[in-house]
Amino acid sequence: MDAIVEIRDLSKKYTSLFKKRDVLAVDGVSLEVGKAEILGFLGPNGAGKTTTIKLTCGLLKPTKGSIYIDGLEVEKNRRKVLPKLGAVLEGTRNSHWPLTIKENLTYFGNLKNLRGRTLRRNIEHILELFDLQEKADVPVKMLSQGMKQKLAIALALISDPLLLLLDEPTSNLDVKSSRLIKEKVRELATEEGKAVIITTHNMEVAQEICERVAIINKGKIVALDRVENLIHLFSEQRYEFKVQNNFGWEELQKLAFVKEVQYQSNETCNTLTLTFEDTAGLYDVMDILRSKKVIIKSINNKKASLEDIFLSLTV
Amino acid sequence: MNILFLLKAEIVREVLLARRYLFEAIVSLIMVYITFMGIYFAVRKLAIGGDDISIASYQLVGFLLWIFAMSTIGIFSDEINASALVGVLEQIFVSPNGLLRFIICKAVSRTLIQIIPLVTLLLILLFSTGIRLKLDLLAITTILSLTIAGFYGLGLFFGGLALLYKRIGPVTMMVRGALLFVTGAMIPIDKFPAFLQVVAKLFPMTQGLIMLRKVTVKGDSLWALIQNGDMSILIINSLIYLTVGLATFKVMENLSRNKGVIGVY
Repeated sequence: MDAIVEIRDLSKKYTSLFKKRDVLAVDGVSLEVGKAEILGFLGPNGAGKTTTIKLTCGLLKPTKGSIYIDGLEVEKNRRKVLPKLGAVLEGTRNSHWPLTIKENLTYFGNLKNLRGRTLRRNIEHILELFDLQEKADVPVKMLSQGMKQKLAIALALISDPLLLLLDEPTSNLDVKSSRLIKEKVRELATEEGKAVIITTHNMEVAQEICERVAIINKGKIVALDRVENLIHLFSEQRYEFKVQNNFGWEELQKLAFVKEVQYQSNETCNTLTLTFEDTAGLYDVMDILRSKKVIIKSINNKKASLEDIFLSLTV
Repeated sequence: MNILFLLKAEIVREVLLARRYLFEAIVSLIMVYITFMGIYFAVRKLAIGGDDISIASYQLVGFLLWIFAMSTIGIFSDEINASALVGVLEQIFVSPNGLLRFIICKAVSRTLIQIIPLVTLLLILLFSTGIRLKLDLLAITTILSLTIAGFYGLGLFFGGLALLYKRIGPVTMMVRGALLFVTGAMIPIDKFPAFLQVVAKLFPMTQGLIMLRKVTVKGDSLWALIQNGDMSILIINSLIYLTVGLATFKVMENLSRNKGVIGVY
């Protein structure tokens, strides 16, 4: 893969006067994203997702490591690198509300040194791509939340960057707007060839549009693989037992080859879900259940969702 | 070349916003007019220093320059805070021109836009008060430009502080207030005690004000101000402020980047 962005052993430590309060927000993160690829960046609150995004777009200075965009190191080549990336950061409005959509596109295009025919062409293309032509002369303050978010992404694309960084782009959006944003992000990768890194808490978003997912916890990458590989790996290791009678299931948690035990009990049946470190332990579990005279009604290899994987890796 | 286009973009944006918020701009102008007229009539009524219209001429020049100084110095910190509040500061920071170029272009564009209402105000005040000023445009433009450079230096200093510390309103208000009283805007500095005269001359506005008064009230020429050394003092004063301001801004920008507080509001 020809990587558009390469992050090598990236670390960020926030230091304070009192060394005990130093915070290692990002710890040795390395990853690559290629052209036309969408990488999902998942992690619990405070895991280091936003810090990594801000380091990548040059908003933060790394403590260690380096970031390359299109072969150029960000820290040493800011002027050349910055037009190659666009960023939509979480919780920010990203546009001037008194100005219209077109005025915002023109202004931010000028900020990125675009002018004349190039700028006009880029604006026309973006208005068409995001279906904003009819609202081009409407002040941003009069747009819906979904339209504002579309505009935020549109502004990040004004310089036709190679890399797009999206920090929680669907947060605070309703279902319809969220679906629209997902479609646009997918189009940007598949049709426009952009490399996209998207951070999100929404597993559905990650599972639907991301090819690969990086899961970060406490500043470290704990998983980095294609979504289907992760789901396949975790699904192989996850079994669901429907059992008739209650039993002391808690002792299964002490088994070395069992990663996680969930037990749900209701009037009709009880469901025991086991995630194995090593699926060879399945037979040992069967022996234990038999010794406890547990009546097994069915055993299924349960397909893991990205949410299950995320929770299992970040607890 | 890029910086000229950036300046043009900022001017266009300022004009668009001025049109969108025209009511606010007009009301501000009226408030400034009323404030000066209040001071003017109070001074003439109390006959401070004698009921001499030349005192009022001094005060008009001082007052207008103070208004100009207040808004110019505040551009940097106000714009940084406003951009952070609106949510575009981070976008500006990661643009190829960077924050410093942006903020300087912002200051220049706003200064240029402000000249129109200030000139309008000057003409209205001259008409309302009967004050006569000698308007040597070359001399006034030269002195104002150099004085503004000093304002920019002080503004960059505060802009840098705003980037790192965010809420520095009380500090800037204090300095803006000091500019009214300590620089001779209302009372000429030769009426101050000796030590305060020295302090006054350290401020970026004082030398420019002395020279503007010499040109507009006394009728001195630009060449006379160069020959008597006034121009050298102004240039040195403004250069020092500009250098310190730029250095402070860059240091604060680096610190903010390290701490990850750019855009945090």
